[in-house]
Amino acid sequence: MKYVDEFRDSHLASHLAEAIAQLNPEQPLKLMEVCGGHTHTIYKHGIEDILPPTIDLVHGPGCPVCVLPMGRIDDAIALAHTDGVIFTTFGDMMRVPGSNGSLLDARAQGADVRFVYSPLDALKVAQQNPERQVIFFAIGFETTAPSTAVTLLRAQAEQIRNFSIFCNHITVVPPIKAILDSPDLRLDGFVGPGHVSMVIGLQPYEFIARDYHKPVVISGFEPLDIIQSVYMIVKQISEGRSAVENQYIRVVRPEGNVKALQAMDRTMELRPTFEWRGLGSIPYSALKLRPAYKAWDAEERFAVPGIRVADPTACQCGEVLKGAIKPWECRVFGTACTPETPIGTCMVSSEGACAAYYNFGRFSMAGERARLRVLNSEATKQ
Amino acid sequence: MSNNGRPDDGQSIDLEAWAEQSCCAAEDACITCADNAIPACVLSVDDATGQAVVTIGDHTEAIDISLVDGVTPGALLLIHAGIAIGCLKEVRYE
Repeated sequence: MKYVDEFRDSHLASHLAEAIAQLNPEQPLKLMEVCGGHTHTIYKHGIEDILPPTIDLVHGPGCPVCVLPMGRIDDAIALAHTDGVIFTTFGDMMRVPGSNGSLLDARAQGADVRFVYSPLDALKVAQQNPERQVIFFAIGFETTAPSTAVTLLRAQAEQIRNFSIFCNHITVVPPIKAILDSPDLRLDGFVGPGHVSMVIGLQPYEFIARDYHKPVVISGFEPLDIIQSVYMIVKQISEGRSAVENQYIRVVRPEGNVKALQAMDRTMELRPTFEWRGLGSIPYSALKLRPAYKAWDAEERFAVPGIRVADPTACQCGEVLKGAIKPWECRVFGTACTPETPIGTCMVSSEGACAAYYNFGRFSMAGERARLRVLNSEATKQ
Repeated sequence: MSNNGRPDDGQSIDLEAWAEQSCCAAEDACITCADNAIPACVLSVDDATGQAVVTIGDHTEAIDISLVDGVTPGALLLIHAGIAIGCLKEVRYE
């Protein structure tokens, strides 16, 4: 099979959906997908409409933009306003609201904020502007951390001293564990992140199957990838098994990308604790630069406010991120909170569950109520 | 736009237009939270610099390949945030 058309074959999708329904005709199952890219595919291609109504896909904290607390945005904005600084960032972060505006607002106020596609581009900006301090706003899971690691190694090798990293990289396994330990959430399986797993491999997820007895299937990003992954999870459940399986075999190797892991380990270490929006503080869930790279650590070179900021009272992003509520169940979804006027990060990022629901027009109160009637009636029978 | 489809640093253009260009929604995918990796076909490899020239869509660019082994012309790489982090191989799904 090639990589796009075959993975969007609607006949195969229907066939797989029928197979899922045959394996599991009645039992409601709640499966969490922990990846913004999966959320995007699910809503763009209407996968929930294809799957049997007994399957409820819950969107987890797989959007590193969405889980970044407002205090860290405020820190970024403070860095951007520092005299002489060129503040570089992925475009995704430009509109994310802090407690007093966004990086875009900071730029309008005169801060030199520039967006880049890669931290290597930020390093080039530093080389081109030797009289300025260039800071890169590093965010993302283990898919993105390797690019920061490579950039740090290059900055060190070439002794580019007017460059630093404001590191907010996070890791995918700790929030999954936090959700598994959450008393108010029942999940039956996980659709695992494809490209994070390309870096970290399959071993980090084994505790989920071993200790919590929940299946995990690492999935690609095309519609058939996700539907097949759901099939593989449901098959495990129907057979009374729980294991980590790899649907994304064309990309993910069991051992991951060893060189990427080595680069990350050489340049970064785990923070003792880090705050996640909606999940609170999670130990050993985020990365910071190792002491050997102190010279390139923006938090060492500059003063950041470091103030913890509470989310707006109307914001229910935390509950959406945990999968406790659907986006449309948030009291401000689609009214006060829209992509044009976002209150929370789930609406700002296009991969956030709320923005995905909103932008792809899959939001249908009638459809959701019909699905919930099926799920609730089956739950009552048990 | 210049530089292989990448916008310039925004110093001289309208702020709102620049924001539209930089907004992840305008590109239909978020670089970071999409967990996105773009396929790229290798044209040539420069072992000395640890880079490969690749085609991504309709343009070519040089990409860091220091984290991927055995890169040869014709290989399909997966690019995320400006570096290659994996390879794409053809497999049979049953």
